[in-house]
Amino acid sequence: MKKIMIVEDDLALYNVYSMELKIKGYEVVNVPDGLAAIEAFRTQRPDLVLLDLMLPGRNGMQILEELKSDEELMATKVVMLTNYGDDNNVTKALRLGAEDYMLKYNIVPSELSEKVAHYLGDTSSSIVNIIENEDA
Amino acid sequence: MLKSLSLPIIIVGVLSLAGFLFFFLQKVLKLRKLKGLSPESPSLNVEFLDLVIEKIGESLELSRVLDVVLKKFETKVLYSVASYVIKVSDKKVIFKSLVRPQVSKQLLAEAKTRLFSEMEKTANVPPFSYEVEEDVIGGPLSEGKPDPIGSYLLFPLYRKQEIVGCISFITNQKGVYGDSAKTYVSMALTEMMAIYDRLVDLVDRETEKFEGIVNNMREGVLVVDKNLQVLVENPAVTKIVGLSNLVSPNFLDLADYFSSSFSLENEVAQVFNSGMPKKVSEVEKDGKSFELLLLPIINNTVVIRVGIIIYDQTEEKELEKLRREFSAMVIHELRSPLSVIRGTAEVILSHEDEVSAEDKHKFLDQIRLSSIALLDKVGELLDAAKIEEKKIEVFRNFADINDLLRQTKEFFSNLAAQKNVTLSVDLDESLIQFYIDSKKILQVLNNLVSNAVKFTPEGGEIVLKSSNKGELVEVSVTDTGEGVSDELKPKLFDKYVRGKNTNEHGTGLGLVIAKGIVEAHNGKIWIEDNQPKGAKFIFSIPKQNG
Repeated sequence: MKKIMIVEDDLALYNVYSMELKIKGYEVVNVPDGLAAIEAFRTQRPDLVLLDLMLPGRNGMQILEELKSDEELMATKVVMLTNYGDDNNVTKALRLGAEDYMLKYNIVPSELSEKVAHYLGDTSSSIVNIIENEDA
Repeated sequence: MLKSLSLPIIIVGVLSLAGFLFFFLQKVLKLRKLKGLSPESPSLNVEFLDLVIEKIGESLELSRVLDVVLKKFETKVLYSVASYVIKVSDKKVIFKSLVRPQVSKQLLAEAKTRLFSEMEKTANVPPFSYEVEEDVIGGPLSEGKPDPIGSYLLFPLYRKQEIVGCISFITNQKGVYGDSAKTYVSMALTEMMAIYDRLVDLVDRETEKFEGIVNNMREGVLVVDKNLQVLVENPAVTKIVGLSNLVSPNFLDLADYFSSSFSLENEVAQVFNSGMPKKVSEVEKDGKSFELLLLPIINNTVVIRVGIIIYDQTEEKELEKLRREFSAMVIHELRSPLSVIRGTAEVILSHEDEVSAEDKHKFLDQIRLSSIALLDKVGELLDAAKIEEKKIEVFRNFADINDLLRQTKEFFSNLAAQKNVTLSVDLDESLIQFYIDSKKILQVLNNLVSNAVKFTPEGGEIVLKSSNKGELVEVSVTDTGEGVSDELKPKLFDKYVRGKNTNEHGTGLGLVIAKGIVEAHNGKIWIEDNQPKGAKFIFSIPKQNG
């Protein structure tokens, strides 16, 4: 069973995503604290990380940067999942090596699980990678 | 916007003032003459003024005025050499002569000797111990035998009862300066000097006003002539561009300062050539933002000067950035609960059979709580907007402040316990009931305590304290968190400023609203350091008994 780690401090949102992903057959774990994220990657070795931007202690961009420069962890697939759709953030996250940048308000849970399946190679259907930027 | 539009117009007005003023004064003075206010004066005055207008333009230097006078006397008074000497500074005198053709050198020398000795005698100014600027117009002088001195006429030049110079006429013909000639020249000179004095006074007064305005402007103002000499410069120029090591920076200092962004020389040259104003925007330098406006000052269709106005837009830019961040925050804060509501409903609907009844219940409750959170946030935004527009209303009721502190403690006791933070009250029991908007004061207490809980680490302590201070009641909320830096303290109650941990959720409007509510009660709110560590938020409000 593939493991999805959701770095998200909003427990309600975590409940929604985890329910969806569990139903789709994934193992789901939550890290609600930015400071604990890197250590959690190292000990739990998720197949894919859903990473929020606004987190207590440390923001998602800093976490992504460290993860992608850590030889041991850099292969971990990361999908940004946030409500901050600033152009600069999108560009930066993709440049740092995130697979995708998804906006919470823009997707429903079923779309999220489809994307996850796509990035984990669990589906033959190709998904067009659309990044919608927020109008600032 | 209105301010930024109207300001250049004012400045153009002020800068043009000096130029127009002279023209205006001349008109006024001319009109007075023509109306015959000095009927006995020689008709010279009107002509004199015309010449002044024509020849010297904006200059009010006495020597240039006298040049015009001498030229005027050329056709009215018979002379071989007409000269004047005037003291222009504590170091310098000007000696100038108009010479008819073939006048001997000696006659000019004689005119100079007599003028200088008169100057020493009457004005106590020995010209030979001064720097003498000397000029001879006309001629050529003859090297031949000396002319005899036929007639000689000398007048002192007074400014405010003080002799500032002398003017003389010398000719090789005898007996030419009769009483009528003397009277004519004397009256003309007296009148001329009086007009000159009035003109100088008026221009001085106007200049003073002009300088007063310019020196007090927040914008930097600089006026340069075609040679890029600085004619006007206000203290703001030095301050804005941070050239404080220079007492008054010249044009090149200023151009140097901006050289990494644009060429000020080129821009100024273009304004001189085109006669059109220019705006240079988005100039970034040393972390500051500037906008420069270059205005032509035109006299007789020729650009004689360029005024440079420097706006320091650093604060505006920063405020704009804060506003943008604030908008992004608001959008985010509203989207978060909406994302939960939408996502939760979707999960239940698309997996009706897979989601257990227990989970469904949990999810419905989650929707309910997110809706409440959303409503709270919208409420905060509306409160903050009302406060900003000063439209917050206070509905007072007879209430016990200690009771509000107890209620707040009760409300947060679970949350504090979860974080292992001690929450206690320290109440001044001498406080009796008075009139406050207890609902709104409760909101203030909620905001302060919710912040305290958020920023106090495990094992910390929060105290809600009330004190009876006579006419006032003082309430404080102290915590043992990290405290607030001195830099942040004064900004903490601003709408667009958030505490250091910007990763925290919430609108960050809690303190803005708290301040608005306290001030609506005619009270004050501030922050101090808690000893040995943490923050202490205090508000005090007057007790109202009716």
